Amino acid sequence: MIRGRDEPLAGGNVAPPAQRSLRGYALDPSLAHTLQSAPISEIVFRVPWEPLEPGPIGRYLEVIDYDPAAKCFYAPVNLDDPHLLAQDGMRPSEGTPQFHQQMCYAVAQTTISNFERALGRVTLWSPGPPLDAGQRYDDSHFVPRLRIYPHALREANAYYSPVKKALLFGYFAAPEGDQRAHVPGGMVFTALSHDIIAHETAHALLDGMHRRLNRATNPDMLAFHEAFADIVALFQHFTFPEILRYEISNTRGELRAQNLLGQLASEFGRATGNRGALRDFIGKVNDEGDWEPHKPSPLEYESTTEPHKRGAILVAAVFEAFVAIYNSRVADLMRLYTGGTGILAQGAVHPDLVNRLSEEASKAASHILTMCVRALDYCPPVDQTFGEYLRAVITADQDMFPDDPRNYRVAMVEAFRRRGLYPRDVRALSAENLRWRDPENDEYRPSEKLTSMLTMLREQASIQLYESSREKLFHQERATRLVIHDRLQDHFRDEPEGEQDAKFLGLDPKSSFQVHSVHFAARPAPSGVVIQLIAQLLQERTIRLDEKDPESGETRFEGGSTIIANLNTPAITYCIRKPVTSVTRRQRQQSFNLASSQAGLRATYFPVSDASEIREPFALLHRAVI
Amino acid sequence: MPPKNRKPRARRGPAGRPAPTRARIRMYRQGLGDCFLVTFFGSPDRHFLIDCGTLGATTTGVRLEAVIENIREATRDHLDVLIATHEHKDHVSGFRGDPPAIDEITIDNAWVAWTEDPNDRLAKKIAKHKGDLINTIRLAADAMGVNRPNDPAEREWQEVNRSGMRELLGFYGDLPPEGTPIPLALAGTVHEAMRYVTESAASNGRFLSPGELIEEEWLPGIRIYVLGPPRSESALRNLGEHGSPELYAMATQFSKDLSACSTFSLSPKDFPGYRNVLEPAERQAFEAQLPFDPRFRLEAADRHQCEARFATYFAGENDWRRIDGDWLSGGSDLALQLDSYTNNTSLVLAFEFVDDGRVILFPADAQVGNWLSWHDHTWEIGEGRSRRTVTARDLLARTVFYKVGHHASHNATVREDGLELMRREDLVAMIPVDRKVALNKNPPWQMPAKALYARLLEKTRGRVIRSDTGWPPDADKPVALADEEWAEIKRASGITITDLYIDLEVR
Repeated sequence: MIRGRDEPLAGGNVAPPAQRSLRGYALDPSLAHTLQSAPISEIVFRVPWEPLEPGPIGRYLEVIDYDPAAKCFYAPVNLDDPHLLAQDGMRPSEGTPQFHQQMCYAVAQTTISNFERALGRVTLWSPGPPLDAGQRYDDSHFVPRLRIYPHALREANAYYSPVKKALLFGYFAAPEGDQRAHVPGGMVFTALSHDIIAHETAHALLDGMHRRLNRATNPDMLAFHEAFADIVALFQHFTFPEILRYEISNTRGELRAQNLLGQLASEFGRATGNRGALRDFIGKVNDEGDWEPHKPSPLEYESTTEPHKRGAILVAAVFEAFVAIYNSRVADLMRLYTGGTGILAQGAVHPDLVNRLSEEASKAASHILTMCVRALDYCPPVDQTFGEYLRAVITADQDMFPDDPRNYRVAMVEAFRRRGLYPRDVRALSAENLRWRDPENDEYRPSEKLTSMLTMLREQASIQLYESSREKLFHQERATRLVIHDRLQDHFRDEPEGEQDAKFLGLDPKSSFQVHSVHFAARPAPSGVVIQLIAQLLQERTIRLDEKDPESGETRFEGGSTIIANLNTPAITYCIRKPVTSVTRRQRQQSFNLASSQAGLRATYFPVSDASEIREPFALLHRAVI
Repeated sequence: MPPKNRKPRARRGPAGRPAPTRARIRMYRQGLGDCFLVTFFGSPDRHFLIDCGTLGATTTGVRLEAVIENIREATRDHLDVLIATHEHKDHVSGFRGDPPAIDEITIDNAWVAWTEDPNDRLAKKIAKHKGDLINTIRLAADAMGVNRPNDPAEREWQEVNRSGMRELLGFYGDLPPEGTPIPLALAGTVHEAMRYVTESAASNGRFLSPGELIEEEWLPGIRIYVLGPPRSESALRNLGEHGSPELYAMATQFSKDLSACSTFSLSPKDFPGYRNVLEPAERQAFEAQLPFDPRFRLEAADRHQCEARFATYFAGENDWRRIDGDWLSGGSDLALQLDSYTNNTSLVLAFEFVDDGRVILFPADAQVGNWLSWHDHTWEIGEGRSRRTVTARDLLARTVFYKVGHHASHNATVREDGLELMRREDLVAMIPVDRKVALNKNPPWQMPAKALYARLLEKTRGRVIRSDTGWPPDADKPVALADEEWAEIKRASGITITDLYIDLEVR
C-alpha cells in the first residue's frame, strides 16, 4: 500500500522524543581550522525536546537576532523544520547567522539542563522590572524566557544583562596573527564559543537563584559571579566524552599536563582576550617550554581585588580539587594497566583505558559541578564571601553524602586552604568545622513555636513539588512567601518567643522585612526522601556611604538569613545568618564601597557614589579596558 | 622671629638673616588648568614657563590674557624655556592664536616630550592612535544621540555616557553646541597650539626623552631630570607587564569598528544607499567589516516587515529589553583610554638644587604607567670621586614641591611608588584646579579627589595650596596643630596669594 504524503505515520501518534540533537562547535570554530583537532571540532548537543518557534524560541530561551550596529535583523531559524530535524540541525557554519542562533540555543539550553540536574529542581529567571513603576520592591513580573542576542555588540565582549534579562554577544574582526578566525582579519563571533555561551548563561542562572549576588558589597561578590560562571562552563566541557577521549589519549591520562583540557582551563574564555588571569593561576608554559602548574599562595587572595582575577583564584581551587579527585579515581586503573609500576609504556594508550579514564573524568566533573551548584542553596542571602561559599559546599555535600569515601570534601578544603580562601571565623579547617552550625551548636535556638510553623508549609510544598509550569511555580512561590511573611510578622509582634526567634533569624523584629525567596526540594536521605524548605529572609537599612561625611549620600545595607529546614521532622537544620545589626559588617561594606567608588579613571569622570548600584555590572567587568 | 623649635624652619643665611630667595614658583589662577612660571634668581634671572591653558575659571574669573600680561611683565618679555607638557587644552590653550599673545615674548628654548617629535616612529604611532580614538569617540557620542533607547531608565544612563564622552573630548578643542555634530577637526585646536610651541615659539627646540639629564651653563646650580614620558606602549597604556601586541591590536580594531559602525549609524541612508555613495576602496572596507554576506540582511529600516516578523522585540511592554544603544556603550571606555593615554604622554621634569639636593617636581598629568616608569631610569652625576647614581626614589625623597597631577584626580598621583616616597617635612603641594568648573561637568568630575586631598594634607602638614581657593580652610588644618601654630606656619611658608597668582618662594 502506498502511503500518501499527508497520512500519519503508521501506528498513529508517536510520542515526542526525550531529546533533540543539535550540532555545534565543541569549543569554538578555531579547532576546525587545524587538521589535528578537526575530528573533535564538532559535537552534537543533546537538549530536552520541546516544540520550538522560529528564533529559536522555547520555554526557557528566546533568540532574537538583531544586529544594531549593522542596522539589520537576521531571519530566525526554524529548528522544527523537518529537514533540520532529520540532520541534527544546521551544519556548523561561521558565515550563516542561523547556525549562530542554533548554537546559542543549544549551548544555553544544555547549560540550563545540566544546572537543573545538579540542583535537583527547576530554575527560574530573576523577575523583570516592577510592573508598577512606583513600587520598587514589586517582584511579581514573571519573565519566562531569557533573551539571547547573538550579534548585539560590535566588540570582543559578551555579557549578561540583569536589567534586560538578556545575553548580549559581540563579534569583532580578529587582529592580524590571531588564529581564531578562519581567515586572517576575519570575524570572530563570541556567539560561537561554547565557553562564552555557557559562562553567560550561568550568570543568568545564578542571578535567578540569588538576585542579591550582583550587588557588590564586598570584594568577593562580583568575583564570585565570575568564578561560578566559569566553573559551570568549564566543568560542562569535561562532560563531553568525545573531547575527553581525544585529550586523554593525547596526554596519556595525565590531566594536568598541557593538553587541550588543561588549555581549556588555562585559556578559558580566551576569545575576549581578557582571561589571562585564569591562565596564570592554573599554570603556563615556562621558559623551557614545559607546562608547569602554578604554585598557589594565600597572598594572592589578599592582594588581588579585580573581580576576574580574584574569581580566577576560586576557579583554580575548584579545578585543583577536580584533578585530585580524578587522580584518585583512576589510581587503581593505572595500577592495573601498568602492572603496578605506574609508568605507561611507549606508544599509544590502549583505547579501552582511554575510555575508562574518560568515563572517570566525566564522572568527576559531573560530581564537582553538582557540589558547586547544590552549595548555592546553602549560601547566605547577601554579602557572600569565598569562605562562606566553601562552607556551603561542604555542608551541602555532607547533607547529600554523609560518608565521603573518596574524600571529595577533603580535596575541596585542601585546595581552598592552599589559596587562603577560608572563612575568617572558623577555627580549624576540617570539613567538620566548616559545616554550618546546626541549631544544637548554634548560639541562638529557634523556639518550639517557630519550628512547629514548618508543618503549615507542607501543603505548599506538596503543591509546588508537583507543579510543572514554571509560571505557576513562580506565582506559587510568591504566595508562599507572603504566607510565611505574615505568620512571622504576627509572631514577632504578638508572641512571647517572637523576639528571640527574630534574633535567631538575624532580623530586627521592629523593622519590616521580606521573605526574599522560598523553594522546596526533595532530597534523598538514608531514611527515604526528605522534603526541604530553603528560604531567604532579608531586611535592609539605609546607611551613609561615608560615616565621616554627612554629605556623602546613602546606600542600602542588607542583612537576614538563609533557612534550611526539614519538613518531615520538622526541624530547622541550618540558619545562615547575616544580621542587619552587625556593625563590623556594615563598616566593611562602607569601606569597600568607598574604595571601589574612587578607584580607576572611570570614577573621576563617570562618578558612581554607590558601587553596589551600577546599572550593568557585568558589561563593565567584561570589557578589556586598556 | 619665629621660635627655633617650630617646624618648618625658615631658612637662614649667614648672620641669621632670612636666606635669599633662590627660586620662585608662581601658580597662576586661571581656573582648571596648569600655568606655572618658575624663576631661578641669579644674574640674570632664568624663567621657565610650564604650560599655559585652561578649561575655564568660574571661581576666580581670571582670564588668560591677564596671565600672559603678567608673564610678560615678570619676565620682561624674555623667557628662557617654554615647556608644553602634553596635548590637552588645559595645558596648551594659551598657545592658540594667530599668532598667540605669548609670541610677543622672546623665547630662547622650547622643550616638549619626545612624543611630539614628528620624526619619531613611535611618536607618530601614538599620535595616530590618539587621532583614531578622538575620531571614534566623537562619532560614537553623536551616534548615541540618534540611537536613543525607548526605556526611560536606559535613556538616562545612555545620556550620562554620551555627555561624559563629550566632556572628555573637551580636552582637545572647543565643543560645538549640543545637537551639532562634533567635527573631526575638533582636535585641531590642541594640535595647533602644540605646533606653535614646537615650531615657531623659540629659537631652539628640544624633544626630551626620559633618562636625560640637563645641565646648562646658563643655569648654574640647577640640574633638570627628565623622568617621563616612557618609551613603552605598555606603560603609556597603563598595562605594565600585561601589555601585549594582541591586546593593543584588539583595542585598535575596536576603535576602527566602532567608528565605521557609528558613521553608518549616523547616515540617514539605508544600507544599499549608503554603500553606493562610498568610494570603491571605502566600500570594500565597509563590506569587509560586515559580519555576514549582505544577502542575509533584513533591513531594520524596513519597519513594517521587521515589526511584523519580530513583534516580540518591538512590543512596547518589552522596551526594557531592547538593545538599540548597548553597542555604543563601549565608547565611554575608549574615552577613558584616550584620556589616560594622552595624560601618560606628559613630560615629567624634576628640578634639583645641586648644593642641597632639594627637588621641585612637575609631573604634569602623568598617570600610573608614566609614574612607575620613572623607576626604570638612573642618572649619573658628578665627576671622578664624587660620581654617583641618582634614582627616582632619591629624587622623590628630596622633593620639597609637588605640582599635583591632573588637578588632584585620584589616578594621577601614584601612592606607594610615588607620593609615599616623598618624605620631606617641608613638602608643599600645589593643585591647579577649579572645583566649580569640574562639578559643572555632566557628569561632574571628581577633582580634587577627596581621599587624595586628605592624604596630601597629611603629607604636607596642611600645606596644600589650591589655585581656586588658596590655603585649605581652617577645618582642614592638621589636627595636631593649634590655631596659632597653624597661622604661624602659613605666615612663615613663603607663600603669597594674590587674585591673579600664588607665589611660593624657595629660599
